[in-house]
Amino acid sequence: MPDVRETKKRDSSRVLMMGNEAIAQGVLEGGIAYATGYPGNPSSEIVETLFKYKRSHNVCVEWAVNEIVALEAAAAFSFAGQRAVVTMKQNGMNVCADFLTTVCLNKLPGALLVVVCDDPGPLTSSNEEDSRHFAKIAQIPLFEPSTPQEAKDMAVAALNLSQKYGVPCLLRAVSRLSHGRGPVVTGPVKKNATPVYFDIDKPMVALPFLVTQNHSRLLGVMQAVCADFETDEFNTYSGPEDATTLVIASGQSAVYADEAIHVLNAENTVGLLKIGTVFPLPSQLIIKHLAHAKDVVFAEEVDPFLEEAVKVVYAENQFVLNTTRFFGKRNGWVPGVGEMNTTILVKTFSRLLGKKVAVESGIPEKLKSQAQAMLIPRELSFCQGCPHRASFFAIKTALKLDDRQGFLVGDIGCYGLGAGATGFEQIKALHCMGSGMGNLNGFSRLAALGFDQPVLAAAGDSTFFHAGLPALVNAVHHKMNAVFIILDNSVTAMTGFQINPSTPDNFPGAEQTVSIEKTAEGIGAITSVIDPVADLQKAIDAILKALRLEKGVHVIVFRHPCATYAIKKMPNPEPSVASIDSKKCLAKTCGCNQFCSRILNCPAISVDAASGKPCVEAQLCTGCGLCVQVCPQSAIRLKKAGDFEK
Amino acid sequence: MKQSINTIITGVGGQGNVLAAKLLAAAALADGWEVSVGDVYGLSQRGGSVASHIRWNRDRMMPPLVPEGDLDFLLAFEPLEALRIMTQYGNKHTVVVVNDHPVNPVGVQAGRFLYPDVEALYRLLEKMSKKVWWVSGTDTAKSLGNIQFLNTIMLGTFFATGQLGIRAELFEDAIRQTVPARYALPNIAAFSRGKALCSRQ
Ligand code: SF4
Ligand code: SF4
Repeated sequence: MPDVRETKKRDSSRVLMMGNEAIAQGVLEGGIAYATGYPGNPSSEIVETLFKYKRSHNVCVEWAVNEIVALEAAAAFSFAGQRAVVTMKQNGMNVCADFLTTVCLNKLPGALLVVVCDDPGPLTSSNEEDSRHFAKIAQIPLFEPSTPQEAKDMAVAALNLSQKYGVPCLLRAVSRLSHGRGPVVTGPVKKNATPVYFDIDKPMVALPFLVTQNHSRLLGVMQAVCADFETDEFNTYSGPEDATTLVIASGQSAVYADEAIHVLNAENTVGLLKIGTVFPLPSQLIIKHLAHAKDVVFAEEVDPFLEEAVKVVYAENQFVLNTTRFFGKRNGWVPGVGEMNTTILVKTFSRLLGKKVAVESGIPEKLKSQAQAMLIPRELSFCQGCPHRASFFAIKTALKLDDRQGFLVGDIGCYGLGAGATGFEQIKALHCMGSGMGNLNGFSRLAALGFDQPVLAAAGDSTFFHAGLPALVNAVHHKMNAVFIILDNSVTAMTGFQINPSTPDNFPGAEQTVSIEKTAEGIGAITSVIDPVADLQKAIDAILKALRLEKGVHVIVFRHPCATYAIKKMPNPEPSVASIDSKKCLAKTCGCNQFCSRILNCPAISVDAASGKPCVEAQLCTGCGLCVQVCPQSAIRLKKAGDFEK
Repeated sequence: MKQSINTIITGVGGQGNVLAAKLLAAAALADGWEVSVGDVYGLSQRGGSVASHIRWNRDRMMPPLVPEGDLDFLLAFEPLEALRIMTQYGNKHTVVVVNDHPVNPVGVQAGRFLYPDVEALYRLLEKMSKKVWWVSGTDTAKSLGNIQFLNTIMLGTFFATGQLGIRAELFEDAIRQTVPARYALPNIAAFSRGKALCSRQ
C-alpha cells in the first residue's frame, strides 16, 4: 500500500512498536487528559503503556471496574472540554453500549475516543464479535487501521475529528495488529491547553423529548464527517486506474490483500481500494472505483460490514454504474468466520483470476501426515502453584461426595480453564463476564420444576465487581438458595496481572481495597473466606456444608494470590519446594495410581524416566504445598529451597 | 518471486519467545529492512505453544503473519513445537535451528499422551527442510547458570548460520538497547556461546 510504503520510508526516527503501543503513542500525541478501560486481550497493553507516561505527560491513567464505568468516566472529561480515551476488547463493547448509544446524541465539548480490539478466530476470547457494528448502531465515525503506523496516526486523527464535530469516535483494531509490531514514526505529544470547564447552560442530557432532535443533529454531523472522509488520506487506492478487478479491503485485511496481489503478480491488473474510514462509508470514493470495476472482492474481518455498505452504495447508484459482480462473505468466496490471512486471499483471488498459485507448495502430504501422527497437543494448564488448581480440586471433590449430579457454572479468566483437563473439566457453562453467577439465579429457580441437581457458580475477584454484583443482589433479593464461589487470586491474572478492587493494599501499585466478603455480607449473603491451597480439606468442607444446607445465598471466597504474579512481583525470600520421597511413593502400585502427576497435573510434577516414579522439578515448584495434601502415602514433603543442596 | 524473508520463532510459554522476536526485529530494522512482527500474547504463561512471526524485506510493508508454506527460517526452542510450525508453514527450503531439549506438555505428564520419539522427530524435520541445526541450547543455558539465557543462546546459533542478512553487531546493539543494563553483558556472552554452537556442527 503506497501510504505505508512511500511516506514513512527509511526514516531514521522509526521505532518498532506493538500496535497497542502505537495506539497509546497516538492518544498521547492527540492530547488526552484521561485514559481508562477494562483489561481484556488483545487490548490491555494500550492502558499498560500509558501507565508509563502517567507522570511525564501528566495524564490520568487508571483501570476501571468495567467498560461502562470506564466510558462514562471518560465521557465526563469530554463534557468538561478535555480529551479522553477508553480501551476494551470486543466483549466490552456490549457492556458499554448502553451509554455509548445515548452519549452520541450529545454534542461533546471535548473529545472521546473508544478503542476496541477485536479477536477474530479468537486466540483468547469466547466469541469473535465484530465491533464495527457499534459504529453503525450509535452513528459514530469508525477508523480501522492496517499497520501500527496507521494505528498511531488514526488515534490522533480520531481525537481531532471527535473534537471537531463533538461526536465520540471508534477505533477498531484486531489482535494481529494490536499484538503485531512494525516501524512507527512518532510525532510530538500535544499539551492539553483547553480550559477545564463544564458549561451548566449546555446540559448533557438525552431526555425523550430531545431524542429525535438530537438524533437528527447527529445524522447531520455524520453527513459532514462523510464528506471529510471522501478525501481522507487513510483511504488509498493502488493499481491501474481502470482495473476491472477491484479489491475493497479494510484494516489488517488490506495488508493481507496487498500481499496476496503481490504474490499473484497481479499488481498490473488488480486494484486495491483500502478503506481506513469505514463508517460512514465515503460513498463518492466507492462510486468512483465501482465505475471501473467488473468484479469486486472484499477483504475484511469478521463480518461482511464493508461488503454490505458497499452493496448499498451500489444499489443506490446502479443507474450510473456497470453491472458488477461481488465476491465476499455473503456468497462464500471469502470465509465468513475466523481470522483472515494472505493464504486465504491468494486462494480467492487466484480462483477469480483463473491463475495458478505460484507460492511455495509447503510440506508434501506424505510428510505432513507423518508429522500429524507425532503432533500431540500442548494443552493450556494452570501454572505451577496456581490457586485455581486447589479450588477446582475442592469443587470436584465436594460435588463427588455430595453425589447428586451437581455441577459448576463459571465464566472467563484464567479459571475459565476449569472447563478443561487442568481444572478437572468442572465448568459446565461458560460465556461472558459474570455469566455463571447470573445462570445460577435461573438454576436455583428450576427447583420448582423438580430439578434436583445442585449447582455452584464461580467468578473471579475482578469479575465479581465487574459483573457479578447484580447477580448476587438478585439472588439475595429473591431469597434464592445459591452457592457462589469467588476465586480471588488478588489480581486480574489472565490479561497481565492488573490491579483490581480486591487487590490487597500491600501489593505493589494497589489502591484502596474493596472487600469482597464485606460487600457480600452487606448484600446479605452468608459469607466465608478460605485459602484453598493452605487448607484443601477446609475448602471441600465449606462447599459441602453450603450444598447440604440448601438454604440461603452463600458466598465462599477462595483467596490465594496468583502464583505467577507472586513469583514475578512478590517473591518469597525463603521459598519452599516439594520433594517426593521415592521410598515412600508407591507410584503405579499405589491405590492413588500416581494421583499427583496423573490427576493433580501440576506442571512441576513429572514422571522420572528411569524410575517411572513421579518427581518434582525443583526449578518449577512454587512450594504451594497442594500436592503434599493429596498424597495418600504422605510421600511428599515441603522443604526450604536451600536445603536441597545439603 | 520471493516476497520477503520469513522467520518464525517458536517455543513454549515462558521460554522468552516475545523478547527474542523483539530483538531480532529491532536488529533487522536497524539494518535498513522493512519489518513486521506477529506475536501472540495472553495465554503464554499457561504452558501453551507460542510462535512469533518476524518478516523483513527491502521495500514493502508486510502483514504480520507468514503465509502457510512460505517459511525461510525457523528458530525453535522446543522440538515438538518445531515440528508443529514446520508442518504448517515450512517447505523444503526452510532452514531450521532447534533446541534439542523437549518440554513435556501437561498431557504427557498426566499420561494421556506420549511425547514422540525425539530421534524420529529429528529425522522427520530433516526430511521436511533444507537443513536442521540440532542445538544443545538448554544444556548450554544451564552451564551458563541460567535457563533464561536459552533464547539469546539460540539466537546466537541462528545468526551464525549466516543467512539472515542482518549484521550480528546490530543484534548486540539491540540487546543493549532493550535489555536492562545489568543483563546486557551476560546476554551478549550467551549470544556468543550460541554462535560457537553452530560452528561445532
Ligand atoms: S496466571 Fe495466576 S491465576 Fe492464571 S493460571 Fe497462572 S497462577 Fe493461575
Ligand atoms: S508444591 Fe506440589 S503442587 Fe505446589 S507447585 Fe510444587 S509440585 Fe506443584
